[in-house]
Amino acid sequence: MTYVVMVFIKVFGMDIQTAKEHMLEVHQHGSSVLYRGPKEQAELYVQLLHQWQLNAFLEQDA
Amino acid sequence: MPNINLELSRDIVSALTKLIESISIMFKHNLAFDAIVPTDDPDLAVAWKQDLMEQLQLDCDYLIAILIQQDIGKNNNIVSLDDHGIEVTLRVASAIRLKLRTVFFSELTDEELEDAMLNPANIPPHLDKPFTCYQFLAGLQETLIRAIEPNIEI
Repeated sequence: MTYVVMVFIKVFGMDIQTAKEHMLEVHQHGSSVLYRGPKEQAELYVQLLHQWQLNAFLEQDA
Repeated sequence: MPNINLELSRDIVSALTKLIESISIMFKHNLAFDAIVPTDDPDLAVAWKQDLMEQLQLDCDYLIAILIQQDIGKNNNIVSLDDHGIEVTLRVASAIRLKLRTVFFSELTDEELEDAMLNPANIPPHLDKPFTCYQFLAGLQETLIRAIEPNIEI
């Protein structure tokens, strides 16, 4: 779990507390919304998370 | 950030390098997890996964080179990792642990695996080596993360 927190800090520049909250959300609910914004930036984040061995996917806002 | 120096047990490294090499070969054909690729274009999806596999192969080669150096007793069993080396080691340790989980521990629930981390005696004998490898890589990750992000405490 520390690994996931560390990856969120590295990829998204989150502070430790925010990264922990997202990690716990993933742990308890299976996923967490980590970024909302332009598709190109979101794709880059997905690529980085995949490189860190964490699965991630894009969803279009309704 | 200054380099991190690790002293790895030669006995452990010697026992686990072959297993890690065999996992590395699996990564020539499959990723450690079923990546959800953000495109409907099948060609782009293949290219995306190919890029990930190539990077994973490089990461594996890096870790295996370190382990082989330790196995032959180079540098008094001390490995020095710079920022890049730390990131590569963390990533590839995660990938190998995921693959070990899939290949060897698929019959265990997450809770059973967590319990086994605390009570390794519960692991069946035929899974001793993969489990030792899983634990070794988990310990390596924890050590590196504590060094680079000392305030992370779960």
